[in-house]
Amino acid sequence: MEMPTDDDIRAMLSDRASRLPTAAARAETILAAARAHAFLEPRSSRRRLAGGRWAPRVAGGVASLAAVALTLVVLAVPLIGRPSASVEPSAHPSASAAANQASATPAASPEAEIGAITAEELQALFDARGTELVGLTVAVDGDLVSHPSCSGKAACVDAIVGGTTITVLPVGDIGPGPWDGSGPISGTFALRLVAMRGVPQGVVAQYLGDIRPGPNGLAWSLADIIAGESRQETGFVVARGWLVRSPLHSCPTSLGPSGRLSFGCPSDDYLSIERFQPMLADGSSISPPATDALYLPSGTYDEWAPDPAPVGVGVEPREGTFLLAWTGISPCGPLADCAFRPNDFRWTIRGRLDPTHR
Amino acid sequence: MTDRWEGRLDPALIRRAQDGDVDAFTALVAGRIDPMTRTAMAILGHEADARDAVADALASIWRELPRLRDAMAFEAWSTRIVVHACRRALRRRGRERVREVAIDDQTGTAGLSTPGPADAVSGRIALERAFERLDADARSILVLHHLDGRPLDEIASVLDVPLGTAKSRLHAARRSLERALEREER
Repeated sequence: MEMPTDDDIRAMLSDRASRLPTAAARAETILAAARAHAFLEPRSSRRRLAGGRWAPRVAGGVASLAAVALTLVVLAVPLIGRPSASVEPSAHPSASAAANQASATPAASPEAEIGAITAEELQALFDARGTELVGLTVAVDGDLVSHPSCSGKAACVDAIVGGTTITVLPVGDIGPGPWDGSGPISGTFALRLVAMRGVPQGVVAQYLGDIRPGPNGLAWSLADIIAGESRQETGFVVARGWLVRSPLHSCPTSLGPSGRLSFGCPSDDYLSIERFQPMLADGSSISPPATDALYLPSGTYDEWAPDPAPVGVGVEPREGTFLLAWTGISPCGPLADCAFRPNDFRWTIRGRLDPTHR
Repeated sequence: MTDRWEGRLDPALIRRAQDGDVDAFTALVAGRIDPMTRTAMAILGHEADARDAVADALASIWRELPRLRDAMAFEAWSTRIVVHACRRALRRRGRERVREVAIDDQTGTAGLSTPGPADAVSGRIALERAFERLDADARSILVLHHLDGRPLDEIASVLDVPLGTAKSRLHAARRSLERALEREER
């Protein structure tokens, strides 16, 4: 066995580092998350050692932190531009017509119209479009089977989509799915397509996790999700709806520990069956959705809405098909090691199913 | 090598940010987010974790900036905060379920052509799997050296350790990677 050279290590790390969506989507998402953190934890008043002056507490607390949020977001847009075509209003192919019309249709598309693609369809996409697919997340019905390169090895978790030549890599080192090494597994999988040098078509699939289909197709209705019908500890459920965000609220200067997702501060974010505008006539408040809506962490709209509208008093709802996970939200922040309590579990969006048609 | 800030730091901008000027803080970090994310992504290999780590780091930078004594140390200091955020993310991940498995079954692959240059693909995948066996410190120093292209003295500054310690840690990380690769290919 040959030891890796510096170039081998550099190429591997470069590939890992490049498996991200467009810089625009990335920076906006992170700035939004940082904004939420800034609201949670105001800068404390500490003695500034350089120059011997005292660092002033952020004047006005809430007002100044709100200014941080607005400035970060507003500045990010001209710096990094808008998302590329790969994050245009999107949906699964079978629901593409509805998804690509950001119309004033009052309700989301029926769940029955959303379906997974087959392994053969995925192979055809790879063959036809190669690296054009990078950044897409797809739902695939099929099998995951051992990668041919694993032959004879005791420990090998690399796989391909059964019946194809498409390499599937676990994400990170925690392989979220049911792959137990006993043989191929069948099901519906969320795969994200990422670039990798030296493989056919220059694209591999990252295994994000299993999808638990709904009672009438791939997607669940939001009503069933809210009722708890779809709840599970691992993997994803799929739902289609309108992502909406309220105007930014003034927030308390200290709400809780760093690292905990914030709900309602600085914005209320919903995945709603209804295309509603969360701005009242006075432009300062939110009217809760009239129909079924899932309450999501603040910042969700910025992170996952297709072509998110810039920050403002009222942002345009965006329709999409999303991967939802039932997730424990640490009650103690990133530095503490404490158990989740029942109320620390919430729904969060972990991905968006993108159109696979041109 | 990632884009870095040497020669472009404006001490006055940093001082304004230290004093709570949000415009200055925004200007300070806006161009830094992509390289931060790239570093975090290489260490963590997971997009959501990398985004969270950088968001954590930005919040910490905002909060702790008044403590920074030497404005010219901002680049190394902020990178250290990103590395610490990645370490916390890996620690959190370590508490989650880890599944390491053996796969011997080849069912379903009969008749398939091996994808591309099989050895190259296999080696490339094995190297990444081996990297994921490493702890946070080893991952971080390999990323700082091989991806960011930082010299050892700069790595020592980022990690806040003596030069000799940085050198020995880099050597140890490289050896750990080789041993992990041996196990991966066994």
